[in-house]
Formats: sequence, C-alpha cells, structure tokens
Amino acid sequence: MGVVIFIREQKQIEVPDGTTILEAEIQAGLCPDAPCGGQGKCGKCLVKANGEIVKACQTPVHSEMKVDTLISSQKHAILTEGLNRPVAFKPGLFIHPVKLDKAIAGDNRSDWERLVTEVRKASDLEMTHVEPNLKLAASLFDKRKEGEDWFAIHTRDSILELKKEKPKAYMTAFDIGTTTVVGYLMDAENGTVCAIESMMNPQAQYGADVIMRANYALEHGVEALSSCIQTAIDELLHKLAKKKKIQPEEIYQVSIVGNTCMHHLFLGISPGSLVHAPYNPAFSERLTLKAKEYGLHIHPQAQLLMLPDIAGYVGADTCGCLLALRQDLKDEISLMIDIGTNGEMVLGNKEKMATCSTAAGPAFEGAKIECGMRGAAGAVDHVAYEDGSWTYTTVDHQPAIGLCGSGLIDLVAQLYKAGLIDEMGHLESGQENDSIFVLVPPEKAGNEKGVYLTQKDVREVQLAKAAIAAGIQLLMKELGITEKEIQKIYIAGAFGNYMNPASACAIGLLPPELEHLVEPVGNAAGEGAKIALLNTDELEATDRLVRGIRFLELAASAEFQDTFVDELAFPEEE
Amino acid sequence: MGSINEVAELVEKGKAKLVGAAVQDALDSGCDPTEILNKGMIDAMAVVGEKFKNGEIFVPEMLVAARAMKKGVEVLKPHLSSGSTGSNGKLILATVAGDLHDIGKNLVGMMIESAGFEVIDLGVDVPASKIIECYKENPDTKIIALSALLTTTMPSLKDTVAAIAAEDFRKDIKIMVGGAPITQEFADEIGADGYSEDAASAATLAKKLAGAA
Repeated sequence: MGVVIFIREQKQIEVPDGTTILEAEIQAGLCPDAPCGGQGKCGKCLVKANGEIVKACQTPVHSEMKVDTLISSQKHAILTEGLNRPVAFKPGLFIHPVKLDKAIAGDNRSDWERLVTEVRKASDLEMTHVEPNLKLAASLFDKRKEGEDWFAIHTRDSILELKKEKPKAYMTAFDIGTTTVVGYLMDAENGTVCAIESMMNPQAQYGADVIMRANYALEHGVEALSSCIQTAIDELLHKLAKKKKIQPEEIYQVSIVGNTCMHHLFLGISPGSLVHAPYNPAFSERLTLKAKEYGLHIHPQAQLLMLPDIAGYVGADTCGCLLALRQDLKDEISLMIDIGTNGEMVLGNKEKMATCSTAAGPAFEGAKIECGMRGAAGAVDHVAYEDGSWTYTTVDHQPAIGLCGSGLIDLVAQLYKAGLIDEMGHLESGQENDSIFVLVPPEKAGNEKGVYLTQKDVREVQLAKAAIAAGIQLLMKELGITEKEIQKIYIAGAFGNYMNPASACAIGLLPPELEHLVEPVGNAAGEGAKIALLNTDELEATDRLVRGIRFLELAASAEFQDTFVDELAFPEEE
Repeated sequence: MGSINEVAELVEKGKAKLVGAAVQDALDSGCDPTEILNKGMIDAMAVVGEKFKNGEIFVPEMLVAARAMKKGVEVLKPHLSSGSTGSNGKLILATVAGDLHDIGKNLVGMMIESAGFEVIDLGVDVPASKIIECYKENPDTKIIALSALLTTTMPSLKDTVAAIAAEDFRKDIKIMVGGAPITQEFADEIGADGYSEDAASAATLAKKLAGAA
C-alpha cells in the first residue's frame, strides 16, 4: 500500500501500490481536472510529486508520496444570467387553503378522497388523476385533531404536503452543463429567483468531455458518474436552501436541462447508444419523476422534471434554449448557437426549424491550446491591437497565466487583421520564433512560460470554428434559407457571452456579414429550465417543439466535408 | 529534367488547372512518364505531407495539392504501363463499425493515393466481415488501414483487428490504424503493424509497410 499526502489540501489517503496519483486524487475527493480522461495526452493534470513535476495520471503511487496539486483556489467565471423573456406565471406547483373536516356518518369516502375533493375545489383545477400519497393519507386522521384549516401544497396530479401554517414553497431549476452546473432557487408563489448557486461539474475527474465520460461509464459502469452528478445537484440544493435560509424540505419541484449525455448519466442510463453510430439517445421524452429516487434530498414527495432531448447530441439543454427564445413563435428568422463544450444550433422561425450539433470542441474551453485555460482568474479574456501595440485584459485582473476562449478568438482575429496570420492560417509572428506569437512574456506574466500562441494553436482554432461555420451553412441549406434572410443571431452559453462578436466574425466563426445581428443571450438553457417551472403551458410545449424540429446529422451529410474544408480558411477582408 | 520541377511546384501549390499542361510539356520534351509520376508528383506530395506535419500548411492546402496531382495523373495515365499509378500496391481503407466520422480517413486516403497506392475506400461504419470480404475479392491487397474517431469506438477497432488477425491471410498483409484517440500504445496492444498520427505520416507509413510486406 502507498500513502499520498496532499500538501495543499491537507488530506492524506492510503491506496494500493500502482494506483496513479490522479486516481488517488479522485478517491480523496479532490475532484481533479482530467480533460483527456487520464490518457496522458493533455498535460493538464501536472502535480509536484516528491519534488518532481509529473503527470498525475501517468505516475503510480508507491511507499509515501508528498504531492503538491499546484492548484490555487481559482475562481471560475460561471455564467448564470440569461435573457429574460416575459413569461406568464402559471406554475405547476400550488399552495391552497383546504378544510379537513370530519366525515359525515354514511359518507364512506376515504379521508384521502375527501382531501382530493377539497384540493380540487380550492384550486379550481380538474385534477382528473391524482396520485395516491399513502403517507399523507395515513396522517390525515391525526392532522385533523390539530384543526380543520390547513394548506395543501400540490401539483395538478399529486398532493405533496399539508401544513398548518401558511407555508412557503420553492422550486429549483438546474442546468447541468458538461463543464459547469447552475441551480436557481425560485419562490413558488411568485416565480422570483431568490438564490443562485453554481459549481464546476465534478464529473470532470472522469474526463473533460461527454465522450470521455461515456467511455468511462461503458468501461466501469454508469454508477460512479451518475452518483457523482446526483450528489452535486443535491449539494447545490442544500447550498441554495442555506443561502435563502429555508429548509431543503421546502423545495417541492426540480427541473433539469442538460445535454443528452448529461441527461442520461444523471438518470443512470448507460450512454452506449449515444457514442456508437448513429448516436441516438436511449430515452428522450419529457419525464416527471420522484426527486428522491435520484439522490435529491428535498421534500420526500418532490417532483423532478426532465425536459426532453432531441437527438444524441442535441439535448434537453437545447430544448431549454428553445423555451427561452421561442423562435418557433416568431416571423423573424433567427439562428441560435449554444457555444459551450459542444456547439448546438437552431435555425428557423414559426414556419420551419432545424437543428444540428457541431464539435465546436475543446479549443474554446482551453484544452488543445498550449496556453489554453478555462475562464478562471488570470485568463486573458480580451485582446486588442491598436496603433502597433498589443493590449489585453484578464479575468479578475490577475496577472496573465493563459488564454481562455474569448481571448483566444480575439487574439487570432487581431493577428489575422494585423497580417501576421494569412488567409490559410499560416502564422508568421515576426518575433524570435516565427511560429510562435508571444502575447505576454514570462517577466510580465503570472506564470513561468508567459502567454503565447503557436501555429498549431491557430490550426486548432481553424478546425473548431470551421465546424460551427459549416453547421450554420448546412442548416441554411437544409431549410432553404440564405444568409440575407437571417434577422437575428442569438449566442447562448458560457463562452458566447464573453466572446466578442466582431472577432468571431473576423475569423469566420459566424458569417461576417451578420455581425450586427449578434445578440448574446447568456445561459438560455438555464432560462428554459426556469420557464419550465414558471409556466406549465411552456413545459408542455416542449413535447411539440422537439417533435416539430428537423434534426440534421452532420456526420451523415455528404456535403459536410467539403463545406468544412471551405470554412477552414479565414474570410477575405472587405 | 527542368519541366518535372515545374510539375512538382504546381502540384505543391495546388494549381490543378495548370498541372495538366505542365505534365504534357514534360512528356513532349521527352521526360520519362514514370519519372514524372515519381519525382513530379509523388515526391511533391511527400513534401506537402512534411509541410503539413510541421504546421506550415493545413488541410485545405493539402487537399488542393492532392487534387492537382489527381489532375496530373489523368494526363499521365495513358503513357504509363498499366497499374503503375497504384504501383506501390492496393490498400483497403475504412472507418470501423460504430463510427460515422470520415474526414480524417478521407484525407488519409488521398495522401496514400498520392503516394502511389490504389486505395479501396469502404466508407464508414464498416463491419469487419465487409473488410474481410473485400480482401478476398482483392487478394493482392498489401495493407488494411482502419480509422476510429471516438474513444468509444476503440473497442470496435480492437475487435476488427482481431477478426482480421483470425483469418489465414493475416500473414500476407499489414494492418495500420489511426484516428484522434488512437495511440502507438493502443496500436501495439491490439496487434496492428503500424500507427500514424496524421494523413501525411500515414502515407509515409504505408510506403514503409508496403516495402517490407
């Protein structure tokens, strides 16, 4: 057996000889970042073991090892706000006063049946099928001893709780992103958001992207990943309750959006079908479940609403975006792109809509770029080149230690404008090494190597942006819509909110002609999760929305390759 | 000969429209057709491959160069002895079962073709049985090249190689593998004869394996 002492975290763990340091970190609950899933390829798991810098995933533990994880408690910029579309408050969770009166002799109706009648009357809802709540039914006799006047907390098809004093009830909407998870606590009486909490998705310790995690699940079973995310959601629920100074048991409804893989993993569904051609979901319909059956310790009768998925790579999160924007109700032809870890997009209007998913890829999230990093403190997030000098800003104004997605796009756009990158993507920096452009030299940076961009990095950006650009082109072709007819481009997702539209258009990520139509809409998926709780008509509309939208499988499109190759180059300047 | 250099330059630059005339010029001035093919085109594509490997050029330039070579080969074909365009041999190419991705594989196919092979591309999501059937219809095939893009397709790649290895023609061919999640280590583990990390290296590897085969 070997012992690993984690210096920074002041934790110690005993593991069998041969266990890798990364595995020890996972077992010790440190939630390390492992973008390539422990394959030794990305170099982002570096630690100092007994004084030597090594890859945690490739280094086995033996005897006693002192490990410095080198992680400073970085604050990551997590996007929580979204576009607020005015939505009528018509929730599915109600609080109504009811009378628990004594049965009249000869009336053989059960306590439960009489309660249901009361609730129907008080709420003026049809409530045709009410799910039996045995625990509550059994308590009615004793409850009546305390008095006749009670308050019922119920939905259209279940009575969740009875309280003597006028109760508060809460609902929570979640967006489970591949990289970040956000929860919004809402007051059931008026729909206001009263608390927001977020965290990095701890499934990251099993790999940065959905493929890595699916792979892990297929090799080791889905339980670890499933309980990992269920625990995280439960943790956020408790954090939200604490923030608002309420009891977790006062939360009666939860809605969840996430991409199809996140959806399957949360539900404990093996993602086999998602990662083998033709990449379809195991289950995609809208669901109403019992929250407690999915590791959520809120009110024991609480409902869990899962929005529907559309395809293997267009998930409930895109459905959330559809709800947030309701492009299907407008005359205006709009394009919505959710640039997160994947790049889903929806084009159309009330006449027709189509969707596809592109591998926007890890370049915009930090992986595969030498100095790439996520949007944490010290990440260069904007770059400008004016009058011969380069300027930049960093997240939290900390000394620069890397490039995050928005900074990367700005830098490439500026280098292209300055003529240091040609149309085909060839970099000639004019510096000491032509294939490297140093933005921040080591002496000015917050790290040892400085912040720079290599020729290979430019190629990665080309590949990433060409995928999205090709997706846009093919969606237009599918619907017979030309660029000129698009009247709006909504950019959803974490990256989209910080990305500079001018830079995105300059490099051809978005159609250059349409720069003036770009509107960031923040966490639209999260907005959709909230709307699902605020208005039952909207929630039910998702069934129609997902059925009515055309799905385009790019991998099966004969034109994708040619379009993709065409989009690799940078657009000609006007 | 001077005009062969011109052909090479036009192939490298991807000037498909001008290559044809340059090849004709070279032929007219008495250059040997096979030399035009080898020095003017195959070697030129090898240079393109090198430039791609070190990032000097990228996918689009590689594609237009391959296209230019194809145009040149069309003009050259009637002058070459039959079979000499695929003089390095036959190669069967496929993305294994369970995977639909093919851009990388297509690039590999083009580069290997440009290196003087006859490439039979079976497409995507190809079951092992189909690959084996194709070999039996083309028993002079020297190499089978397999691609997998997702880590989740790797088991399928392993199974496909195993299925081929179980056939008695295994000793007569070489198997090479590639794709984003594939590593030399994995290739060794599953019993492949070679691994390459991009289209350019794949062409070099194919030549090496065919020479040794």
